[in-house]
Amino acid sequence: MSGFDILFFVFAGFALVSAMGVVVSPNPVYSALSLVLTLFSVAGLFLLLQAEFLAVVQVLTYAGAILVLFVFIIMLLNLSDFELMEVRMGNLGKALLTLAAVVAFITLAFVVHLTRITGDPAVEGFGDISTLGREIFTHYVIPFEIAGVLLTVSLIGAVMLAKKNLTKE
Amino acid sequence: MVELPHFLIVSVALFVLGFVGVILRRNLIVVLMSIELMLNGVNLSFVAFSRYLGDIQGQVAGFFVIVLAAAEAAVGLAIIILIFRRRGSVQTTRLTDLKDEIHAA
Repeated sequence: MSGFDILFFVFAGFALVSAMGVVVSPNPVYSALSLVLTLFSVAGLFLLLQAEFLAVVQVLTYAGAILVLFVFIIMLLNLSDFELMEVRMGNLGKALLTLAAVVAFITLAFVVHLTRITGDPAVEGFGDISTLGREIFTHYVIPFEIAGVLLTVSLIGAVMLAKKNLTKE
Repeated sequence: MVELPHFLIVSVALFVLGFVGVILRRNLIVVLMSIELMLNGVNLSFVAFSRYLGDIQGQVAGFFVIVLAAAEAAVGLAIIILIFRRRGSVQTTRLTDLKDEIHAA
Protein backbone atom coordinates (compact mmCIF):
# COMPACT_ATOMS: atom_id res chain seq x y z
CA MET A 1 0.00 0.00 0.00
CA SER A 2 1.64 3.19 -1.16
CA GLY A 3 1.40 6.62 0.40
CA PHE A 4 -0.97 7.63 -2.37
CA ASP A 5 -3.42 4.87 -1.38
CA ILE A 6 -3.24 5.74 2.33
CA LEU A 7 -3.87 9.43 1.59
CA PHE A 8 -6.78 8.48 -0.66
CA PHE A 9 -8.46 6.39 2.02
CA VAL A 10 -7.91 9.08 4.67
CA PHE A 11 -9.39 11.84 2.49
CA ALA A 12 -12.22 9.66 1.18
CA GLY A 13 -13.12 8.49 4.69
CA PHE A 14 -13.17 12.04 6.04
CA ALA A 15 -15.24 13.23 3.06
CA LEU A 16 -17.87 10.53 3.43
CA VAL A 17 -18.16 10.66 7.24
CA SER A 18 -18.46 14.45 7.28
CA ALA A 19 -20.91 14.37 4.34
CA MET A 20 -23.02 12.05 6.49
CA GLY A 21 -22.70 14.64 9.25
CA VAL A 22 -24.06 17.36 6.94
CA VAL A 23 -27.16 15.30 6.23
CA VAL A 24 -27.96 13.92 9.69
CA SER A 25 -26.97 16.63 12.18
CA PRO A 26 -30.09 18.42 13.50
CA ASN A 27 -28.38 21.80 13.92
CA PRO A 28 -27.54 23.69 10.67
CA VAL A 29 -24.38 25.14 12.27
CA TYR A 30 -22.99 21.62 12.71
CA SER A 31 -24.06 20.84 9.15
CA ALA A 32 -22.08 23.84 7.90
CA LEU A 33 -18.98 22.84 9.88
CA SER A 34 -19.23 19.26 8.57
CA LEU A 35 -19.53 20.69 5.07
CA VAL A 36 -16.24 22.56 5.58
CA LEU A 37 -14.54 19.27 6.45
CA THR A 38 -16.09 17.57 3.40
CA LEU A 39 -14.92 20.34 1.08
CA PHE A 40 -11.38 20.24 2.49
CA SER A 41 -11.29 16.47 2.01
CA VAL A 42 -12.48 16.79 -1.58
CA ALA A 43 -9.76 19.43 -2.09
CA GLY A 44 -7.29 16.81 -0.83
CA LEU A 45 -8.65 14.30 -3.35
CA PHE A 46 -8.21 16.97 -6.06
CA LEU A 47 -4.57 17.26 -5.01
CA LEU A 48 -4.16 13.50 -5.35
CA LEU A 49 -5.66 13.80 -8.84
CA GLN A 50 -3.04 16.40 -9.83
CA ALA A 51 -5.61 19.20 -9.94
CA GLU A 52 -3.63 21.65 -7.82
CA PHE A 53 -5.33 24.77 -9.10
CA LEU A 54 -8.80 23.34 -8.58
CA ALA A 55 -7.88 22.24 -5.05
CA VAL A 56 -6.80 25.79 -4.20
CA VAL A 57 -9.93 27.27 -5.81
CA GLN A 58 -12.06 24.75 -3.91
CA VAL A 59 -10.61 25.85 -0.58
CA LEU A 60 -10.76 29.55 -1.47
CA THR A 61 -14.31 29.77 -2.84
CA TYR A 62 -16.09 26.98 -0.99
CA ALA A 63 -14.47 27.01 2.43
CA GLY A 64 -13.53 30.67 2.22
CA ALA A 65 -16.54 32.34 0.63
CA ILE A 66 -19.57 30.06 0.36
CA LEU A 67 -19.30 28.52 3.82
CA VAL A 68 -18.79 31.91 5.47
CA LEU A 69 -21.94 33.01 3.66
CA PHE A 70 -23.83 29.95 4.97
CA VAL A 71 -22.72 30.45 8.57
CA PHE A 72 -23.45 34.16 8.30
CA ILE A 73 -26.99 33.47 7.08
CA ILE A 74 -27.58 30.89 9.83
CA MET A 75 -26.50 33.44 12.45
CA LEU A 76 -28.46 36.26 10.78
CA LEU A 77 -31.74 34.35 10.67
CA ASN A 78 -31.38 33.45 14.36
CA LEU A 79 -33.60 30.39 14.09
CA SER A 80 -35.60 29.57 17.17
CA ASP A 81 -35.46 26.19 18.88
CA PHE A 82 -38.73 25.36 17.22
CA GLU A 83 -37.23 26.08 13.82
CA LEU A 84 -34.24 23.86 14.59
CA MET A 85 -36.57 20.99 15.39
CA GLU A 86 -37.03 19.17 12.14
CA VAL A 87 -40.30 17.66 11.11
CA ARG A 88 -39.39 13.99 11.35
CA MET A 89 -40.39 11.47 8.75
CA GLY A 90 -42.09 8.27 9.78
CA ASN A 91 -39.97 5.16 10.13
CA LEU A 92 -41.45 3.70 6.95
CA GLY A 93 -40.53 6.78 4.94
CA LYS A 94 -36.98 6.72 6.29
CA ALA A 95 -36.62 3.03 5.54
CA LEU A 96 -37.91 3.49 1.99
CA LEU A 97 -35.61 6.46 1.40
CA THR A 98 -32.59 4.58 2.74
CA LEU A 99 -33.47 1.64 0.52
CA ALA A 100 -33.82 3.94 -2.52
CA ALA A 101 -30.46 5.58 -1.74
CA VAL A 102 -28.74 2.20 -1.38
CA VAL A 103 -30.27 0.99 -4.66
CA ALA A 104 -29.17 4.20 -6.40
CA PHE A 105 -25.67 3.81 -4.97
CA ILE A 106 -25.39 0.18 -6.09
CA THR A 107 -26.67 1.03 -9.56
CA LEU A 108 -24.22 3.90 -9.99
CA ALA A 109 -21.39 1.83 -8.50
CA PHE A 110 -22.17 -0.89 -11.04
CA VAL A 111 -21.96 1.68 -13.83
CA VAL A 112 -18.61 2.77 -12.37
CA HIS A 113 -17.51 -0.86 -12.34
CA LEU A 114 -18.20 -1.04 -16.07
CA THR A 115 -15.75 1.76 -16.88
CA ARG A 116 -12.70 0.28 -18.49
CA ILE A 117 -10.22 3.08 -18.09
CA THR A 118 -6.94 2.04 -16.57
CA GLY A 119 -3.37 3.16 -16.74
CA ASP A 120 -1.76 6.44 -15.84
CA PRO A 121 -1.55 8.78 -18.83
CA ALA A 122 -0.95 11.96 -16.84
CA VAL A 123 2.26 13.83 -17.50
CA GLU A 124 4.35 16.14 -15.35
CA GLY A 125 2.66 19.46 -14.62
CA PHE A 126 -0.71 18.10 -15.73
CA GLY A 127 -3.13 20.15 -13.64
CA ASP A 128 -1.04 23.20 -12.85
CA ILE A 129 -2.28 26.68 -13.46
CA SER A 130 -0.45 27.31 -16.76
CA THR A 131 -1.87 24.19 -18.43
CA LEU A 132 -5.37 24.90 -17.19
CA GLY A 133 -5.13 28.60 -18.02
CA ARG A 134 -3.93 27.88 -21.56
CA GLU A 135 -6.87 25.51 -22.10
CA ILE A 136 -9.41 27.97 -20.69
CA PHE A 137 -8.11 30.95 -22.65
CA THR A 138 -7.80 29.12 -25.96
CA HIS A 139 -10.76 26.74 -26.18
CA TYR A 140 -13.09 28.06 -23.50
CA VAL A 141 -12.87 31.85 -23.82
CA ILE A 142 -16.58 32.40 -24.44
CA PRO A 143 -17.76 30.11 -21.60
CA PHE A 144 -15.25 31.89 -19.38
CA GLU A 145 -16.71 35.29 -20.26
CA ILE A 146 -20.23 33.94 -19.77
CA ALA A 147 -19.16 32.69 -16.32
CA GLY A 148 -18.02 36.23 -15.53
CA VAL A 149 -21.38 37.63 -16.63
CA LEU A 150 -23.14 34.94 -14.56
CA LEU A 151 -21.21 35.94 -11.45
CA THR A 152 -22.02 39.62 -12.00
CA VAL A 153 -25.70 38.87 -12.56
CA SER A 154 -25.91 36.67 -9.46
CA LEU A 155 -24.13 39.34 -7.41
CA ILE A 156 -26.55 42.05 -8.50
CA GLY A 157 -29.48 39.66 -8.12
CA ALA A 158 -28.51 38.64 -4.61
CA VAL A 159 -28.12 42.27 -3.50
CA MET A 160 -31.43 43.28 -5.07
CA LEU A 161 -33.25 40.32 -3.53
CA ALA A 162 -31.91 40.77 -0.03
CA LYS A 163 -32.19 44.58 0.03
CA LYS A 164 -34.41 45.72 2.86
CA ASN A 165 -37.17 48.07 1.63
CA LEU A 166 -37.39 46.92 -1.94
CA THR A 167 -41.16 46.61 -1.84
CA LYS A 168 -43.57 48.83 0.07
CA GLU A 169 -45.72 46.51 2.12
CA MET B 1 -3.85 0.17 -5.74
CA VAL B 2 -6.17 3.14 -5.99
CA GLU B 3 -7.44 3.73 -9.50
CA LEU B 4 -10.23 5.61 -11.24
CA PRO B 5 -13.14 3.47 -9.86
CA HIS B 6 -12.19 4.29 -6.26
CA PHE B 7 -12.52 8.01 -6.92
CA LEU B 8 -15.78 7.45 -8.81
CA ILE B 9 -17.23 5.44 -5.90
CA VAL B 10 -16.45 8.32 -3.52
CA SER B 11 -18.02 10.73 -6.01
CA VAL B 12 -21.17 8.61 -6.33
CA ALA B 13 -21.41 8.28 -2.54
CA LEU B 14 -21.15 12.07 -2.10
CA PHE B 15 -23.85 12.58 -4.73
CA VAL B 16 -26.23 10.06 -3.16
CA LEU B 17 -25.66 11.51 0.33
CA GLY B 18 -26.43 14.98 -1.01
CA PHE B 19 -29.56 13.67 -2.69
CA VAL B 20 -30.74 12.05 0.55
CA GLY B 21 -30.16 15.39 2.28
CA VAL B 22 -32.23 17.27 -0.30
CA ILE B 23 -35.12 14.82 0.09
CA LEU B 24 -34.93 14.20 3.84
CA ARG B 25 -34.20 17.58 5.37
CA ARG B 26 -36.86 20.21 5.93
CA ASN B 27 -34.54 23.15 6.60
CA LEU B 28 -33.94 25.17 3.43
CA ILE B 29 -30.37 26.06 4.45
CA VAL B 30 -29.44 22.41 4.90
CA VAL B 31 -31.14 21.57 1.59
CA LEU B 32 -28.90 24.15 -0.09
CA MET B 33 -25.83 22.65 1.62
CA SER B 34 -26.86 19.20 0.36
CA ILE B 35 -27.03 20.61 -3.17
CA GLU B 36 -23.45 21.83 -2.70
CA LEU B 37 -22.57 18.28 -1.65
CA MET B 38 -24.08 16.89 -4.87
CA LEU B 39 -22.20 19.46 -6.97
CA ASN B 40 -18.97 18.43 -5.24
CA GLY B 41 -19.58 14.77 -5.96
CA VAL B 42 -20.06 15.50 -9.65
CA ASN B 43 -16.99 17.74 -9.64
CA LEU B 44 -14.89 14.94 -8.17
CA SER B 45 -15.88 12.61 -11.00
CA PHE B 46 -15.04 15.32 -13.58
CA VAL B 47 -11.57 15.73 -12.12
CA ALA B 48 -11.02 11.97 -11.72
CA PHE B 49 -11.93 11.31 -15.36
CA SER B 50 -9.74 14.23 -16.40
CA ARG B 51 -6.78 12.69 -14.58
CA TYR B 52 -7.19 9.14 -15.82
CA LEU B 53 -8.01 10.10 -19.42
CA GLY B 54 -5.09 12.54 -19.50
CA ASP B 55 -7.44 15.26 -20.74
CA ILE B 56 -7.37 18.69 -19.07
CA GLN B 57 -10.91 19.55 -20.26
CA GLY B 58 -12.43 17.72 -17.28
CA GLN B 59 -10.69 20.15 -14.96
CA VAL B 60 -12.05 23.07 -17.00
CA ALA B 61 -15.56 21.65 -16.47
CA GLY B 62 -14.85 21.34 -12.75
CA PHE B 63 -13.71 24.97 -12.70
CA PHE B 64 -16.99 26.11 -14.25
CA VAL B 65 -18.97 23.97 -11.80
CA ILE B 66 -17.26 25.78 -8.91
CA VAL B 67 -18.15 29.16 -10.46
CA LEU B 68 -21.74 28.00 -10.86
CA ALA B 69 -21.88 26.78 -7.25
CA ALA B 70 -20.73 30.18 -6.00
CA ALA B 71 -23.42 31.99 -8.01
CA GLU B 72 -26.07 29.49 -6.95
CA ALA B 73 -25.20 29.79 -3.24
CA ALA B 74 -25.35 33.61 -3.36
CA VAL B 75 -28.76 33.77 -5.05
CA GLY B 76 -30.14 30.82 -3.07
CA LEU B 77 -29.21 32.36 0.27
CA ALA B 78 -30.72 35.70 -0.79
CA ILE B 79 -33.97 33.89 -1.60
CA ILE B 80 -33.84 32.15 1.81
CA ILE B 81 -33.49 35.55 3.50
CA LEU B 82 -36.56 36.77 1.59
CA ILE B 83 -38.58 33.68 2.56
CA PHE B 84 -37.57 34.09 6.20
CA ARG B 85 -38.51 37.77 6.16
CA ARG B 86 -41.99 37.05 4.80
CA ARG B 87 -42.79 33.84 6.69
CA GLY B 88 -40.53 33.88 9.74
CA SER B 89 -39.57 30.32 8.88
CA VAL B 90 -37.26 28.38 6.58
CA GLN B 91 -39.06 25.05 6.83
CA THR B 92 -40.02 23.58 3.47
CA THR B 93 -43.23 22.21 5.06
CA ARG B 94 -44.51 25.80 5.43
CA LEU B 95 -44.09 26.61 1.75
CA THR B 96 -47.30 25.15 0.37
CA ASP B 97 -48.78 28.14 -1.50
CA LEU B 98 -49.13 26.26 -4.77
CA LYS B 99 -50.88 23.36 -3.10
CA ASP B 100 -54.50 22.75 -4.12
CA GLU B 101 -56.78 24.27 -1.46
CA ILE B 102 -59.35 21.50 -1.73
CA HIS B 103 -56.88 18.70 -1.12
CA ALA B 104 -54.70 20.58 1.33
CA ALA B 105 -54.45 18.74 4.62
